[in-house]
Amino acid sequence: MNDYYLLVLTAIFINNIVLAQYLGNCPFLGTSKSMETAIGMGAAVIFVAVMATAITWVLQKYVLVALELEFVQTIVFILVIATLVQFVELFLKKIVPPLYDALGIFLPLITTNCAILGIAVICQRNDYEFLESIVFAAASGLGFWLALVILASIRERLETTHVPRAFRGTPIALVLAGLMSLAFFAFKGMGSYR
Amino acid sequence: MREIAKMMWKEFSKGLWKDLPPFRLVLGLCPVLAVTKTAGNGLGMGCSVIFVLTLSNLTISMVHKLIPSKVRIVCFIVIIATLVVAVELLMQAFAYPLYQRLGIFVPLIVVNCIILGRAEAFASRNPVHLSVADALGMGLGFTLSLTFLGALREIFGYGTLFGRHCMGADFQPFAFMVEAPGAFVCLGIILATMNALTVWIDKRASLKIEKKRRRQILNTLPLPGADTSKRKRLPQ
Amino acid sequence: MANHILKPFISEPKLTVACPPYWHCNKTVATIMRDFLLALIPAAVLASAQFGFAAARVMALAGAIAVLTEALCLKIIARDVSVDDYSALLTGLLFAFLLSPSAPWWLVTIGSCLSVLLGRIFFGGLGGSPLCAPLVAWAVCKISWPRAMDLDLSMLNSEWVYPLGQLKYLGPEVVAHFNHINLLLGKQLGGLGSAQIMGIVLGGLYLIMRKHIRPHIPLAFLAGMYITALIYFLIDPTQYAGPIFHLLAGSAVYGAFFLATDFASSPVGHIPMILFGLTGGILSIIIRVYSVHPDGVPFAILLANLLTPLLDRIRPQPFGGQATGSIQSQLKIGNGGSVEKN
Repeated sequence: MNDYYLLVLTAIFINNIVLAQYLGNCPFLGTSKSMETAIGMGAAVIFVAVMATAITWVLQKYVLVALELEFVQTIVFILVIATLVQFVELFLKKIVPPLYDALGIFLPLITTNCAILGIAVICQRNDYEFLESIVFAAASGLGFWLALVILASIRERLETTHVPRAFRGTPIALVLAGLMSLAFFAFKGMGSYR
Repeated sequence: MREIAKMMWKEFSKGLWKDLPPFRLVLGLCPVLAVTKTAGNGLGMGCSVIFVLTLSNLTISMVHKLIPSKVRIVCFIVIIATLVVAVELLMQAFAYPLYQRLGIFVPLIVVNCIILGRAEAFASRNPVHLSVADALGMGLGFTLSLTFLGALREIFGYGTLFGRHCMGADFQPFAFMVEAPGAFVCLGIILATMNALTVWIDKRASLKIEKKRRRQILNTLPLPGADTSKRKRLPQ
Repeated sequence: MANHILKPFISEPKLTVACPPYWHCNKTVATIMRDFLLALIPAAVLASAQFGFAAARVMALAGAIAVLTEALCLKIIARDVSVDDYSALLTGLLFAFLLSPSAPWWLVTIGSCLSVLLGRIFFGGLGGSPLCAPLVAWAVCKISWPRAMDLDLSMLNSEWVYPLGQLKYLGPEVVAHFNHINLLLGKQLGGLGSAQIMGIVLGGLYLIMRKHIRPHIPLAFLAGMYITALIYFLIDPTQYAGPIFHLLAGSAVYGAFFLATDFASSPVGHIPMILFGLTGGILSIIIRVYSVHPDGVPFAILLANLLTPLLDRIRPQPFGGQATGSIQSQLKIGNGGSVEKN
């Protein structure tokens, strides 16, 4: 139990998926313009990351390793993620319409989100067990959501300041992401999971 | 023949400045920050992307008529993923140290928005030779940008360039540049500089056009003190 | 009497406006910054007395470079060069107070430059930055040049020691060597200004008296630190240092009075301010205990600054309506389009 606690803390604060591991930058900068889109995107990422990691872990163990096809890992993983996103969209539309309305437009964007594929590949490279992978995926998604919400709230506030013209839009968001990453340096050395 | 060469050059050169990824065409930022700790890593990643991008554009522009429109994104992803697997295996065979340094960002080339973006926006609508020119231009631009950013971060962050010491012995490396915060801030400053440069170039160009127009108008007016008595009189 | 003190905390503020004509209260940015500079003088004088010419040199260089950078950058982006409001000078000095007295000239220059650039110019000048500018520069310098910023290593020939460094690397037994009165009087190594606890407290009280900063944030910050340190101390006195030591060592008091209360990066309402201070205090102790950094106060304040916009959403409900959360939606109600200016 202590191990999982450390795993969660590492994934959210010490090795934040977007601020320390650079995964998921495009949607991070793109959906942080307002709080509603930020919260929606973060929730969608957590949702898809957990399911994708679970399915890819099972596939890797029982299909790829069994048939000695590890080198096609990339193709299989990305296909799984793409089809998963399609199915999740259809499923949500039919069964849980309110959730679909909340997450709807972000789901197709997640297919090309480096974070999802990155989390799946990291779990494989670090040799996590099934439960560890699920917890890691959920915690990484939560870290992404946290960073996204904070950036969105600050960017909303920046609407009222006179940012120099060259910096408006993406450049100042990148500088802000850098400063957030700087603040998260506080957690360095608080223990690392493996 | 000259027409074709001219069109190819046009598609090729736009990837080198006008639509330079990732500084002007803000796509594919994920690997940019992670692999540019040193110039060598940036160069290696850029070369892999050139390989994947060119072959994927080539393949997709050859077969896009055979792919039904509903499943085209998935098909594109399959093609790109196959090429990425090929690149992975080649790197493991011939450039293993680079493969180790790039880490998980080699398989992540498959979700690089540039490759899928160019496939969707260009290769699936244009003939083969133009797609290849576009891919080569974009890939070269990407490689140059990555190498530039990598060199910047390496020189200030480690004091070396491509592994060779180039700053003096008393140089205290500015380690901020090679860490995550420095990467973000550096990229933000470069993007802002590109924005400012664009505005400045446009302003200079429009000033030039304005000056030319004014000179033309002045040339058509008569000079002050001209002899108006010799003006043609209407026949009476 | 207690009612009179607790009133702003427990009742809604009464908003009374007198009839015109109005009289200007003469409060400009320049006068406020002058008061801040006055508040820094006790600590500066004590630092120069204790560390000699080196301290004065660092402070002067930092202030000069900050003013120069601001003037140059404002000129480049074609805005009013408003360095005469002393705010750049204040930023430079606040940064200098965190450095060790033997900081090399290039460290002071680059740090000062960065504090103005990253903390002010990029975000549009005074009041734009979501993070405290001197702290941003401090954090950048800390991760870039850890040896030059290490307060023990850079002052090896001094008779005093850096209490938090001793605590982190040698364990809590050394805490017994530190006399609280000595710490209060500044007989410790630390940032050249932030070690002068007495001077900082005097300056902070002056600012509160002049009503430039409200007591909520400093008190909440120090209370948060005290309570968290007390909890750890009660759990295991042999492993953790006592709360008074934590308050008097490092930049705790300096951060509470001068850095956490930075206007642009701290919240505005009463409850948000108290929450902000408490968060900063609790995070400081957690970072001091668990992380590799000996002093957690700067990072804790940076993290709390990130939470400021979220904390500022805790507002009183407007009469007869729902509080719209985001500033964007409020702007849309206010004027039709976005504010476009260079």
